[in-house]
Amino acid sequence: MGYVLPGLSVLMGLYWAVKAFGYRLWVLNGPGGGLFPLIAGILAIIFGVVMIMRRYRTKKKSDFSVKSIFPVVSVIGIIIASYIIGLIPSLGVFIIAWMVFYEKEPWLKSTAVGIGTALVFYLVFDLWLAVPLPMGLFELI
Amino acid sequence: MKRIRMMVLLAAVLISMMPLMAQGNSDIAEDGTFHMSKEARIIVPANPGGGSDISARMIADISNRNHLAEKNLVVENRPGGACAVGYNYVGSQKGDPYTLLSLHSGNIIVSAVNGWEQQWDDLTDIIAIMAWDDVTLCVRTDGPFSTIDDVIEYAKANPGKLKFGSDQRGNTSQLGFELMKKYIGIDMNYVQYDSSGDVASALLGGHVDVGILNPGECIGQVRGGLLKPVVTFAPERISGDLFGDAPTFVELGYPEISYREFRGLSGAKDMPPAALQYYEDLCRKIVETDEWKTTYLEANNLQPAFMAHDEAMEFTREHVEQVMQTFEEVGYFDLLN
Amino acid sequence: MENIALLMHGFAIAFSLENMAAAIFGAVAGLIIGAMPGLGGITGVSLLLPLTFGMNPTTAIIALAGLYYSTMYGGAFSAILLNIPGDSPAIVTSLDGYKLTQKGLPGKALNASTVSSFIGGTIGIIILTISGPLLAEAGLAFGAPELALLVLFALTSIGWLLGDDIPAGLLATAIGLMFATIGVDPALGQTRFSFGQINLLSGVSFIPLVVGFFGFSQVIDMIISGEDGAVATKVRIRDCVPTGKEIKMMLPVSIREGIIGTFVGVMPGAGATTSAFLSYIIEKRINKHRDEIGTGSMIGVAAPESSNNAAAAGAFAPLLTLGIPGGATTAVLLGGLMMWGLQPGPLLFTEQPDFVWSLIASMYIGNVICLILAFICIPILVRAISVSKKVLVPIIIAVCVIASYANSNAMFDVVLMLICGILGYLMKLADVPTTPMLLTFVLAPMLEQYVRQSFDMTRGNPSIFFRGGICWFFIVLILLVSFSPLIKNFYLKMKDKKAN
Repeated sequence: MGYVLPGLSVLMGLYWAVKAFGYRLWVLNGPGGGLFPLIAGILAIIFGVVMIMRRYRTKKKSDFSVKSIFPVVSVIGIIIASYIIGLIPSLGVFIIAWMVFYEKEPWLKSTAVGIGTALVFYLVFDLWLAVPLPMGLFELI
Repeated sequence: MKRIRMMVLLAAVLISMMPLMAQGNSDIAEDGTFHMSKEARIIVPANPGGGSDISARMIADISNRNHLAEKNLVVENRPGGACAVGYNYVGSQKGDPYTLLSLHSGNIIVSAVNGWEQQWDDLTDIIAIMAWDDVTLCVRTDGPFSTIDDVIEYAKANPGKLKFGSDQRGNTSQLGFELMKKYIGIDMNYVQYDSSGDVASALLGGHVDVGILNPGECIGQVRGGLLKPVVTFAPERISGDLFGDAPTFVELGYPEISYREFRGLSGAKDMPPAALQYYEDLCRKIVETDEWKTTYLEANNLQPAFMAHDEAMEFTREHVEQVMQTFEEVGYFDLLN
Repeated sequence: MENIALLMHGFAIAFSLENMAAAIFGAVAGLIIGAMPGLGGITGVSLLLPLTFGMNPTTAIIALAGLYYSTMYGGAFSAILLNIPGDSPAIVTSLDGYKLTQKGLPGKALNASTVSSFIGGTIGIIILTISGPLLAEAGLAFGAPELALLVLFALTSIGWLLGDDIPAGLLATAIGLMFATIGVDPALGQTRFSFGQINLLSGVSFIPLVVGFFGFSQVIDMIISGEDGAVATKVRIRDCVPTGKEIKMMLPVSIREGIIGTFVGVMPGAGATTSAFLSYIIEKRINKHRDEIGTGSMIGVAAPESSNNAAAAGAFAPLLTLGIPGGATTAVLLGGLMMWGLQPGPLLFTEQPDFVWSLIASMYIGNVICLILAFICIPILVRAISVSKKVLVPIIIAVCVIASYANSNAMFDVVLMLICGILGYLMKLADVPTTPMLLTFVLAPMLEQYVRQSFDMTRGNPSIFFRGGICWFFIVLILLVSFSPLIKNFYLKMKDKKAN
């Protein structure tokens, strides 16, 4: 997995460097919108390749774990759920679910933490700061 | 535990649905007039504290305090994408009579010049233009120039030397620059900054020779004797002592150099005509209040204006036309890919 | 000493019940907002500004200014305890602060940050009181070419942070530069790399980026490393209190960097992040204990914290004396002044002396309130992170989501945060440091803008970069930084030869 980032950087670098010419390198007597992206792209390609080669030579293994996928999946779940039941309830439900199913904590404690956090979010973001939070289907009401 | 949560949830759903059931689904009365049944939101496509935010809050405050509308107006900031996020959000609420937008002509120009897929008039309907935000050219008081003639004379004698401090390219400030270049026949350097605060800062430090600013953005420095407005881009002089001495380009014999920025209220595209009429009347009531005239117009050095929907749409289209044509002529779009 | 008399008058107003309540409210709110991962000064001021509409301007500014510099205290908390900077000025604080936490000394790091924040903030306010207008004048001397060279100097000094792994650091810089070029280009105003997203038209927002790269990737790391237990084990209060020796070590650092921070804060647009970073690398160069900086040293916490608090105070000088913003947060405050019906400008001091001087007085008071509040919070905070990871992890994930959302009220920013989090985790797997990436992301757009402005001024003549003493000063510094490894090598070789 240690190869993913340098590899990705090389690809991104190529994209940036190619697109840079379209944004112009020098325009109206000064550096154009493409100059910095070109520098960024070239740096990314060079040092991406250097990192890949070095890793290949040292044969260093990265300590990747499948568990790292759980938080990512959780956030995707929260985003989807927020369109149905609203953002704050989604976050509360997520905390409870995480603690019960992943951490194997008791229901009561998990529910308390989940509802408590959701309540604090509600007080701070909705009541106090008046952030327009997604309400999901509640918005129809 | 689970059951209690379910019951609470159910109760909450039922309670919050009650007004919906009582209200029915149409806000248009039998005689065809519109009546507000809930709060309306004014979307500000920028952060709090900016010009669009202040005007939206003024409109909401005056309306709410004097009960000019049946329900309250509330302000909601949706910044990002130079105003594209706010505009597209309002566009997504097509037909909704409860989504309004703080109108600033600069944002409309951005939509046209940047060639958005959906233009300002695809996303919104202008309800009313409510104030002119005129544009002036300022110099430093202790700098080499004291009148617009000095500036023009210097620019004519030294082509490509005068540093013209302005906003980012592709907006109304560039229009002023291009019009001056074309009709006076002078060659200047366009130096672009992120905000008008940065323009004022560079002008004070002597890093640029002239700066293009709205009166509201430099009134403190003008009163303090640090900056001086030498000319205004509006067709008529700005009222008041501070800016009243600055002539217009029309007076100077350049009738083509004339444009104004403006502020007001827009709404979601295709809201019912009765609702549009309702908000138009509301805007008319607001601009007639003393609070609007003193705490908003005077304090921010804006000029009074009122144009209702039809006239405002027509006026705005002409303004956009002027900008696009000028930018086309100077080859701005050829520079972009 | 007319200023002192006016300041005393200001104190009289600031001590009114209403204004004291506003100051305390601002300080508490700022500490909470600052301590929330990802929420900092700009967000706090922007979110609270609408609430002050229609308030008495003096009370309103006291609350908001209190909030602004108290976020500087709070921002360091999450940087130190969780390695998630609350705001861009705290990026540098996390370098040594989190290492101290990992060593089991979170209390020491928090105390070092609080004490130095107080010292730096106070120095900034004193300088502001004595010579505000002069200071603002001095800031005006920095035009685009000078600022370009200043930022370039900061960027070239990132090398000092890289340690031995230069390619990894440079890859991080490249990634930061790529993210920085998303959005409007400073030459023509055209949109770059927006991938058809309207939310990217004006670039990547800092908050989702930092929450993702630091916060979210940190959470992934927490899940994987160590099956259970807390982030830091139980901490004894005894370990929190700095020793006399440590205070002696930090005091000169805080004073020195407080003065530097004030001056950097005054420069238009440079701001607290640049100052925190410059202070850190200055100490890394000149401090007696420089070898410890970067491995979890209290000096590495004290230098940036003193500096960014001083910069927050310094940024008020151009705002109050000239009516121009010193940085992003003061730009929002400038809007606030107009919203409350004041006209910011040089006459503010003479026409609204009550407003200006009670604001300055309230800054002294607010700083003390922040100090006391922070001292109360530290034992609680230290205990809070001793909470089991089982509870902490889901809460941090939830905070990451809501903080990103509140940035611009858009779900897009949550998605962006997620992408940045995954990238941040991949960087960890590839042993690429995130800090140079973040600093480049903050600094590079400034450099691009200033360079473009400089060329605009002279129509492409680069001689403007050599136009005066300030320019030459930075050019010499940049050359020294760039070639110092060579000079050092040469010197060592000569020494070897002599020894032979």
